[in-house]
Amino acid sequence: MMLERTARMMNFKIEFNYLNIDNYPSIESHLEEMAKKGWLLRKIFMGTLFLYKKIEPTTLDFSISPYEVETFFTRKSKTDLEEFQTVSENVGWNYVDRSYDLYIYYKSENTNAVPMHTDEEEEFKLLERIAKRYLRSQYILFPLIILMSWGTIGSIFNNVRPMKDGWIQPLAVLLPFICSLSLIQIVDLRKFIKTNRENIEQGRRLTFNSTNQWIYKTNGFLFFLVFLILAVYTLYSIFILKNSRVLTMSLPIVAGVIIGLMYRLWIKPLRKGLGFKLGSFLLTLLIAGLVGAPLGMLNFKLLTSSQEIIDPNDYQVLMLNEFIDEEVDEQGNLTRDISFLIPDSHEYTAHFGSLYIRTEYSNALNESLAENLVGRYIKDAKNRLRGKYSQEIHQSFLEGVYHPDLKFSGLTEHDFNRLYNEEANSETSAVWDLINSQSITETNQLWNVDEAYYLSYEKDEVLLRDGKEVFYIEGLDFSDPDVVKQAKVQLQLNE
Amino acid sequence: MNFLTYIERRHTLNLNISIDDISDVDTIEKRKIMTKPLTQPMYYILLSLREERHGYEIMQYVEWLTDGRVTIGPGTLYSLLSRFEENKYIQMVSKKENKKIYLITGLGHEILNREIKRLENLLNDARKDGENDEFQNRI
Repeated sequence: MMLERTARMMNFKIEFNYLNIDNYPSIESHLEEMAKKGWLLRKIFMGTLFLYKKIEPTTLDFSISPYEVETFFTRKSKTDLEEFQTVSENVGWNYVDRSYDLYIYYKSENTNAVPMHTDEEEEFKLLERIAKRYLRSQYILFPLIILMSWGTIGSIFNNVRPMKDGWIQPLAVLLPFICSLSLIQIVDLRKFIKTNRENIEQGRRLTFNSTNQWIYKTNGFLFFLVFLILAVYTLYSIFILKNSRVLTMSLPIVAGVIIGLMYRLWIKPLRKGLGFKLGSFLLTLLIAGLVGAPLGMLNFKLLTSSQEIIDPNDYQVLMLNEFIDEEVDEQGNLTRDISFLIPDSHEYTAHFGSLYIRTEYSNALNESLAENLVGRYIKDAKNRLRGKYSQEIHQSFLEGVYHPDLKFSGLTEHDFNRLYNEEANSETSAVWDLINSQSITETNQLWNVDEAYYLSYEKDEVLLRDGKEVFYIEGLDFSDPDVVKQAKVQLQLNE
Repeated sequence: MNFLTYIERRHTLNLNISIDDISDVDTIEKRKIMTKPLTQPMYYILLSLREERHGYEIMQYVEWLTDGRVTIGPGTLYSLLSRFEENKYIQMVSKKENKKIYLITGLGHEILNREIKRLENLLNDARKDGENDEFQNRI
């Protein structure tokens, strides 16, 4: 609303609408109405964001004409398009903008101009070609979005990382909408082709879609909103948080754009057969991979070195020098993040030779989210224990002999023999319940915080929650009161 | 459509088209070439391109030829021109001031002549329709 108000003051207007090959006549009428109210269309972004300029209220005729400029493998030269536009202007139509394969023209009411399309059968043939192309891309896109939604939304509810990640949360909101939009578009386009094929065969006029428009408009709005959030987050993450991970993550996108550009500039305009173009496309991918991989590594190294400008002393993290007697030149990477659920978080791993200490700090939006995060850390710890000892457990129950490494898991030889005699096996829940209960134990009295747990039997992993703050620390013997005392000082926790 | 069926059809329709002419044209289009009559704008565009012309000239020529009865909009014209060029009904012969100049091909000629023949047949049938007595006395 604020955006719209500001825009109106600045003599332009922003509107979320929807333009596609199956509804453009209704948009023509809408644009005519807008011109009568004194708003002339200037630009359309992604078929949904309409930008108008203030004019004197006037009666204009709009014509939106489908014109296929390019398919995946063919591209008409710029001259083709220029000639089409020049001729359209010669016969009296003024060009406004294009949105994908639709070209938008207007003329004043009194100008006599040949209509852009004079034959509905030909118009439909073109629309059918374009619609089939859109459908083909939707058939590829739809299963991919389903897979992506499944993975993203699943991780949002279960894992630690997505709670802190500023990218995944807005995406998780957007993906179900994109998914439903893709499905609706498939249904609408198929219906559009079928109905109009019958219309043409029976000499009737073309019919266009007028339902479901609000879904497209809402999606358009959401898409731009999420896109804006992601763009702001990316910039903030790179420039303010100095987060190398974001830059590394954006590398595949940059590589994708470069591959697309290379293909578009050099291969698509060639007047060669489909086989040649497909071969060239694969070759471009190969070259991009070969060139991109070393570049990516170099980029990663440069970015990692740039991280040293963040001083870990300014953060609540554990540093090696505070816990060992002699002064060492400790190395470490500190990464910071922001997200809706965890507005402030950072991770730091201090290492020197084989020694390391890791700190993960999260300041959640509220206490219940912090409690939720603690639950996820515990779940993660259980999964880690299972991953770490499943082979030894399996072997032990198979051979009936206690594996010596299991003494670090919390399962004693005595307990193993008891369970073995009770005919338990590696999948018996009692076995894992016992390991979990021995490894993940409360340790409140030492830490004096709201929640405190050891996450390993060796007591070298600790999870703490103090109000909205959650700490995960790893790498020291936290059963030692002196270590805990020093850690509390560094983590700025109450004595 | 495989080439054998295509050759068979070619003989049925008595078209003088060689396989080379349409070997690059996609299968669906090949089927359309053989079975469907031309639409009005298709017919007039092919008719105009018996002489070298660019897009705007085609529009003006058709309007002149039909005394304004038939007009072809730029949207219709340019989508047809590109489809015709892709399907080898027409070819670009030169470029003048950034305008592509086209001319009908051998395949385009055959398609157009077949359409003219079809239209002549329709017209003859309409004329013949007046001679009802002949039908009554045929036995």
